[in-house]
Amino acid sequence: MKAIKVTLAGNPNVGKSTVFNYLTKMNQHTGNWAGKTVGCARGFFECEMGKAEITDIPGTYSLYSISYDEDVARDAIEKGDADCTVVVCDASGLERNLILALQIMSVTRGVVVCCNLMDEAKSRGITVDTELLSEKLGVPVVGASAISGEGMDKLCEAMFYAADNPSDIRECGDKEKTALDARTIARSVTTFADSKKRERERKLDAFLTGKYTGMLGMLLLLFLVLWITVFGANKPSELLTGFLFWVGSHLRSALVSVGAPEFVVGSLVDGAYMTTAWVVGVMLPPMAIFFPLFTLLEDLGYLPRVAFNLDYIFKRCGSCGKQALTMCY
Amino acid sequence: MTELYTLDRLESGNEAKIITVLDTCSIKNRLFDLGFTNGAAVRALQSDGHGSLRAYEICGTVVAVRKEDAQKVALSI
Repeated sequence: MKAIKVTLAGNPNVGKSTVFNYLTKMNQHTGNWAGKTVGCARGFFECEMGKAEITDIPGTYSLYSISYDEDVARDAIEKGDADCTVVVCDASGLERNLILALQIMSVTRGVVVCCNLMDEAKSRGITVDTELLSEKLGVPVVGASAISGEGMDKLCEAMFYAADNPSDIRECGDKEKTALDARTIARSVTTFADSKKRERERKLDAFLTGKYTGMLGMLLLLFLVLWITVFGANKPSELLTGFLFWVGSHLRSALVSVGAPEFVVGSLVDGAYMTTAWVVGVMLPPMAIFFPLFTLLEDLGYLPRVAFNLDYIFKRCGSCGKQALTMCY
Repeated sequence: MTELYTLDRLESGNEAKIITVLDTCSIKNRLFDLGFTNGAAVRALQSDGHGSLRAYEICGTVVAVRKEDAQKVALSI
């Protein structure tokens, strides 16, 4: 059976990890904010055509890197020995995504473009002609919605095809030229229709990041999340501690009945076990509530808005709003 | 010397074409990668209410740029 090596590249927040997870059935953490993946993740998958080893690299806007995770990405593409490089693109922002695609095509062969988030783009009135795009770029282009698995079979096919018949290196010229090319190509394959959804998004954004409403919304949400966490955890905490203490008392009597000396019972049950039981009983329920809630906010895309709202505060200490999210974790 | 028409002076809701990001901009490369390139259309959206940060729509995405960086992006009139 044939085995190939595939690298997944692309801009941040275009769903590379979602593609990766779908193909490998693995469970890399995905999130709706740029820079979720910072190291490389490796996985394997099999399909009719053969086996593939697939590497998910951090999202990058450009091969001329400026941050650490982009260094990782560039090294993986340029120095890696992949048979095929899949450039995952966001169908809603093709113009920007193609800059990276063109850059990658200028340093490596066997490129496949995966136009991801197609259904999301469609709901916002944006359609991409993947066939025309493939013609213009000279590499296979697959339209996909990785979250629902749409287009993933075609992507597999394209990977093996590209590994066998790698595309040639495409000269992309300097940065200005690349950007211009990307724009020309993106404009020629994308059609925009008016969309109520985009309008709604803009209004919601204006509210969530408004001068007063933004802060108010943030405080309310913070309060709500904490309230649900604290009150929701009450009962489970009580039950859990009750159960763990009950186990503890039985543990004690079992030890006593086999004639264990007092200091053994004391250190094992009263010391080690009870401390752990307390910590688990008190900490586990709130965490089991808080983190899923936080993940929900993350997936809704609320976190970048928080970063936006808080940037002016963080700026004063020479940092940026994105830091607020790190502090939450 | 006439003053440069820069991104921070673009009124919210309005659209303009970018000429270039000045060399003095500390995040020139980043802005470039985000699509702030010659000829790209940019629309100013809402500000953060303190005037230090504003959202812009460019290349189908919304990005936030601080005022001091926006001052380094030249627009065509």
